[in-house]
Amino acid sequence: MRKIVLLAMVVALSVLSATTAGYGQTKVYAQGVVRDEKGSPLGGATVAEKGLPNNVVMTDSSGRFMLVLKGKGREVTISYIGYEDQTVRVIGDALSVTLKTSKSNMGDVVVIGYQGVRRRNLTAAVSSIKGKEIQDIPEASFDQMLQGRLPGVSVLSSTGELGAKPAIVIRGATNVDYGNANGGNTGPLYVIDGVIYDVNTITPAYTSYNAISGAPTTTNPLSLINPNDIESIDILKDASASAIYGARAGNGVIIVKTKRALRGKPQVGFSAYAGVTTRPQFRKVLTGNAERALKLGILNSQLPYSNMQGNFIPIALTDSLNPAFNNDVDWQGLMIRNFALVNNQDVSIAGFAGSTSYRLSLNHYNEQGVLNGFGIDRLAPHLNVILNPIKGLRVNGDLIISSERRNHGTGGSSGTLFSSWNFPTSFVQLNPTQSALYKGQANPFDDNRILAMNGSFGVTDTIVNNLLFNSTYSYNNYIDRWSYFSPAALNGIQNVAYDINASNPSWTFENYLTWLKSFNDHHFVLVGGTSAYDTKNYFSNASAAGIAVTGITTLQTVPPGTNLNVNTNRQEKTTVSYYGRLSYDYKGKYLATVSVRRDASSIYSASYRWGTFPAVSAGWIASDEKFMEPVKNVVNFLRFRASYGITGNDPGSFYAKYQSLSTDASFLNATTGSLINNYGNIGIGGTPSTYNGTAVISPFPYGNWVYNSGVGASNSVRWEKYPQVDFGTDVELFNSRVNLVVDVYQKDAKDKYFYNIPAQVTTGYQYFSGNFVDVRNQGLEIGLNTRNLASSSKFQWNTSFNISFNRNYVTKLPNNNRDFLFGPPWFQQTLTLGQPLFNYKVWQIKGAYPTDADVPTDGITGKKMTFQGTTLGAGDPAYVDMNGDYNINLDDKVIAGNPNPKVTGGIGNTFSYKGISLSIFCSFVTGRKIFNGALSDFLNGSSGIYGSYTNWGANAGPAAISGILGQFWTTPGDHAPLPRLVYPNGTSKDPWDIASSYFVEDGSFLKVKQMTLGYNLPEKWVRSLHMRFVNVYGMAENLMTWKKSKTVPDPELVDPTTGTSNVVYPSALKFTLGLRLEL
Amino acid sequence: MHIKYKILGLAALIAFCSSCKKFLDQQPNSVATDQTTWKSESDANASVASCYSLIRSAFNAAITYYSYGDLISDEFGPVSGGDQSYLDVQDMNWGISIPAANTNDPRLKLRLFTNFYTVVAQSNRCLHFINSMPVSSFTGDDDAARQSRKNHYLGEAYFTRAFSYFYMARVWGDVPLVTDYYDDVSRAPQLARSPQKDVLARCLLDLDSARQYLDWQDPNSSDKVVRADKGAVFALLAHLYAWEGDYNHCDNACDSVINAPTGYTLVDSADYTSIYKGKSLESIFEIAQNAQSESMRATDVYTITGVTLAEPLIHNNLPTPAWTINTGLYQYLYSDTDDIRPKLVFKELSTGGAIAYECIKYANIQNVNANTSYQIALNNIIVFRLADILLLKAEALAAKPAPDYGTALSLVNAVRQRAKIKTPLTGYTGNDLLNLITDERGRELFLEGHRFFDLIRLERITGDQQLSTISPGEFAAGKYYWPIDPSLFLLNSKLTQTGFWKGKVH
Repeated sequence: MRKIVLLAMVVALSVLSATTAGYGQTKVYAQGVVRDEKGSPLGGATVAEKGLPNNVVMTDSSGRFMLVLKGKGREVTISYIGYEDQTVRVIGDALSVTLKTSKSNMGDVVVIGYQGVRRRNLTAAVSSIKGKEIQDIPEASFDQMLQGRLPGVSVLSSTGELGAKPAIVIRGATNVDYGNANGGNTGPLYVIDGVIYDVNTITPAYTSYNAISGAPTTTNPLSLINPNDIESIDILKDASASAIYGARAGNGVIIVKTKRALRGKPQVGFSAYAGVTTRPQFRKVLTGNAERALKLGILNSQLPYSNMQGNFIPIALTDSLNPAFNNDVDWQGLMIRNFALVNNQDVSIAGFAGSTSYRLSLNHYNEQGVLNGFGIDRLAPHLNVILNPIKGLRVNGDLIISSERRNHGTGGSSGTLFSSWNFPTSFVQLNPTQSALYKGQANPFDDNRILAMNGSFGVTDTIVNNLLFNSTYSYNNYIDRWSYFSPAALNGIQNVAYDINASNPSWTFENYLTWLKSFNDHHFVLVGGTSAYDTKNYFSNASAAGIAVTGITTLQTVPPGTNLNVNTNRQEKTTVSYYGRLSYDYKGKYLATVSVRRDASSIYSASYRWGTFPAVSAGWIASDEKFMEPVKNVVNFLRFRASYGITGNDPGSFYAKYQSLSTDASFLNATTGSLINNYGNIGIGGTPSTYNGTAVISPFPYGNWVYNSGVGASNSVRWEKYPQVDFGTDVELFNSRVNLVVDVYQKDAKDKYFYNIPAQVTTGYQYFSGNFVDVRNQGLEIGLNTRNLASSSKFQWNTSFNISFNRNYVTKLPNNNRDFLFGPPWFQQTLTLGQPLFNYKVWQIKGAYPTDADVPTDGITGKKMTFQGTTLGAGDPAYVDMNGDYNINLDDKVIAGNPNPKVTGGIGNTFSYKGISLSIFCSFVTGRKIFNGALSDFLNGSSGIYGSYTNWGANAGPAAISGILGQFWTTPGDHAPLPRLVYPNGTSKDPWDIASSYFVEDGSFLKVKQMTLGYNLPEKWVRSLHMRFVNVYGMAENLMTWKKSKTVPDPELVDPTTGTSNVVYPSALKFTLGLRLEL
Repeated sequence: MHIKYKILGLAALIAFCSSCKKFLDQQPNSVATDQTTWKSESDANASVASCYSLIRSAFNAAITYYSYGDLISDEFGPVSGGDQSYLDVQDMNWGISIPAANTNDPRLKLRLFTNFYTVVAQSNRCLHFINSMPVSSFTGDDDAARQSRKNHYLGEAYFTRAFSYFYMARVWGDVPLVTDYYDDVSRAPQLARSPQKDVLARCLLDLDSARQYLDWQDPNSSDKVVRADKGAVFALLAHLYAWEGDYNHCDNACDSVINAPTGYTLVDSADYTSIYKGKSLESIFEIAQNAQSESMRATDVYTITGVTLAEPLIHNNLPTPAWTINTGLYQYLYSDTDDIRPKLVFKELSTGGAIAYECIKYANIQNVNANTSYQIALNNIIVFRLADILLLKAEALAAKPAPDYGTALSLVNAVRQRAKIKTPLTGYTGNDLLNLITDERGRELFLEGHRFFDLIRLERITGDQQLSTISPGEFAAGKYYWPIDPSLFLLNSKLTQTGFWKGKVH
């Protein structure tokens, strides 16, 4: 393949010498100057001959231009982004053109893949946001800033951990991979300046896991891009726009355009901000004597005498005089920085040197985590050079590099202290070493280095007047190395050193032709090309346990054997594609686009390799019609759009067609005899991989409690296909003061690759996989932007509002649409035909039984209600017996909502008066249910069930939930919402199973995401400083949250498929002060 | 110029396309797959080893080996701790309703034959793939030697398949019979249960192949007795024939084991407990799990040590184990005061009144990091051993159409002699002798997965009721065959419930 790339590059380069021939006709010149309304010259404006859009020049830095006219029309159209077009007649003299600032965004150029299109000519659903709107927000990557900004784009984080990847879902969830156990592959496709950066295929070294569901959240590879380098972001939502990206566009496409040099004076910019992340809301924890009194009080009143008399009460509670138990530590204070700093600096310089343009920028970003020991430090240069060595030929070189250092405390967010399950008591005595370790001040080694890069080299050549050839080779890589040392004092077992290396090189080679043709009022643009893509993952993971030599924190001194572990992994996938798009318009008001892409992937066997992804769309600009003339003052723009198309998606595994074999030789309670620290619970662990010392291979790993969890591969695995229909309208009223976009869509996800179809038992497999599930999303999106005051007013007030409604349901399941249950027995979710993805299955519980007499009695047998065979009594949960058999078991579970939001959106208001501006942006989500996993875990680990109050000497137990203590049943006759906290020793009841209706909570919230108060210094001051522009501002991020759930601290932070909230790392409120200068 | 350019462009495109095919073929090289593995002898070895590790998974899924063989016999008093579900297992409440989602309920697990079919499937896969491997893939000085290596692995796969089917036949009676490898799992057929005699006939065919392909025990091999050899094949044959009531063949198969060229000898009385650690001189076939890297958590209540041991043998804070020995049976079996077995592998517990016993055969416990909070168990699952085969031969001699009571008694006495019992038994014949042999098997093979099947065989011959949980009528109706879990019917409409349990499983 490399040879082919070279050959094609040679071909591309060989045409550097090809000059376009001149035309020997009588020359008519159009020449003149272009200025803005203030009279300043506009460099870089486009001057094109009317009817011959390829005959075009740009104005120079003093606004001058000269164009040789070729047609007969003798008219030129002058355009410049952000200004209204103007067409003028050429009458001999030099022209003087003044462009008016555009009130409408219809002149903006939207990138839709291999082509830029004026928003006015769009026939597809594309949402765009300017870089300006999200600049200077103190976050490491731009995707986190998109929450609530754009209709149909849901951005939700699953952890507050800095630099973590949020879940971006465009137009509803289609992910049927429970807990992303098989890689998910659910994110949109990112295209950065025309270069595909496929985040879905990147495996970072650092991953944090949801404490309950185990669902992973990885480091966000998008931190490659400095958010302040972004010019605009275009999100291709419907199939018409995205089908040109074919098989990878099923989850939508996000196109990022970075800033480029403008003509005129060189642009030198500097901006910086600095601020603090404040302490998150603490859990109310009783410590010291208060904790002891509380616990003893509860136990004295709740336990029978036999328990009090036995040795069940922890000595830490009874022996208050022992200095070892006589401490008063608020652990939360230990873990959290009161003021974590965040700061950012950007410098950029851009300009033209003759026909060559350049832009260099450098970003430094530094953020401390609110949790001790966490942090990010990034240095990110970006270099772009565009050369025009020969007329008609453009050479573009671009390089983005991000070098990051990250810290993850004591082995990541799954480190000991952050577990709800056994939140430590305040009694424990810490020695200074431990204390320093817990504070993250003494961790001897925690080194995560990331080098992300994206480089491209491209040429665009005008072959003939209206035919352009573009060839681009691009390469990106995400190299992530995480080495750390986990001391025995922290993990409770022994010193372990880890070294994890990940590298994800990929390259793309794109070649395409663009042909423009116009005759009379018919305009055609034809794009056609090919692309080849290759991506690899290299991963290695090494660890050494039992390092006994002080000072050694890497993998040394441990002899070969079971304590020294290493494994490496390499995988590769390739794709070859052909694509074409024909755009047509008649008189600029009847618009149509047809596109098709064919993709072939190495994932599939030869007969299923190729997928075809077509799309058609049409638009009608009704406001251009004669009959609309009378209402032009009210409706200045009106367009209707319709589109249909099919996009695709890859199953997660690179080698899905192969039957993979496992080396798992485990069995129930099997171990390799090594100690493992699992969220603070130390136990014997390990997965045997041998039988009598011989390594085994079979497709049947013993993954759970009953079956060998083998998944049979399908050799007919193929592309998932996402047909989508969209109807939209764009309206601008009152001279573009009101701008409304409405879209309705139906997006099907067909042939979803599904891993969990029960196989015939006699095959030995538990499951087989294949393209078997269909999911549908239907929705309505509304985006509204208004300028609430007249443009003449000195006081300005702009509002942007968007809201999206989405309905999500399963339309096809295998095995005659049978329900699918996921998760362990205590934590189940389903896929059910006609229902949203991953409904929760829980027991409906109506408080606790006040007395024994309140427990229902079976009229036939005379027996009391039982819970899985155990008779219920006073203080036990009042389960609703769905099948009326007077026994509560798994059949009595009912559906209780799902994690998919029904409504998402945002509202922003900007007020400005002279140089002062205030903007407030809020985002909201509603119509989703979440699991309060933190509370469930906490009660499971620290409550009194199975006599686990015996742990109250080590764990905080009720001291950390003092806020809800009043809700537990305590004495007969209590009508309490929650069952009893303490059961006598040996009771086998489990009221804190997470599958209980009291752990399902409303996940709705409204957040004030950003509030910014800014001031542009008056121009005369700025001029005297020899500057163009100076702005100072203060910003607050995550200022306030209104939420339905009382006990979940941040309802945003849940895992997207399992819906569990167990915040090990809270989200934080940040305040920054900043400065922005332009020379 | 333009034409030249276009031609170059087109040429580039064409060159680009013609290379697609190769470019799009990407093979995994960090994960084993069926398509890329199965090339060398070690691949075959790893795949066959997996058959045994899958038997191990099946036998440990719900203390399965001992639940089927011992818990439901008369060896234990009522289950009094750990998972109370085992009380239903013990009382033969096998039809009790368990939601299919309750996947960790032992009552559900014991009704599912899923794990045994995984062994069958892996055996079928080994037979399919190893058969298609060229002889040259195997090691050896010449083709004959290489062929013999290949046959060896095929022989093991035949054995593990036959072993699984025989085990399933004893537990469920009729079971679906599948001997094919499925290339496409999604198209696998729904299979009805085949009559037990057909299943066992197939086992005999497989064992005949295994017998030809496998050698006698190599005493120097680290894999001896934990992987099949000719001795294991004959021991399995002996049990299979005994289960079928074909005692002539059973006798012959026992002879083959007893007279094996690389002989088995009874372990010396002094080393008696070494049998349970594994790989003893009298062992014929066992499942390996006595290495630290293949061990079990000792104190978990879903392990044989967790339910049969108490403090101080394991650190579980229990004065008596969850499964305490049936005191009546214990006192009946071990009435001879010379018998060393109650002293070596049982322990009397003081519970402040009632007498209780624990069986300490599986008490080879090791602390991890010298910490008693973390304990692992290092005992193999002993499936066949010489004492078992000697007593089985005695049973065959006593039960076959032309009985030889004298030799039968001498075999029993050989086992008793090793247990240091002084007085040899004499003069027993007929059913008395059969009862005596079964008692001796009970004494010798207590908690070794045999007792329940021994009692069923005995009742078949003598007609006398052996278990309080099965009345003679229920015995005739086949209550001792387990029901299959109703969840298995969901995907397979051809599957039917076990005869006795029709209409009794909810």
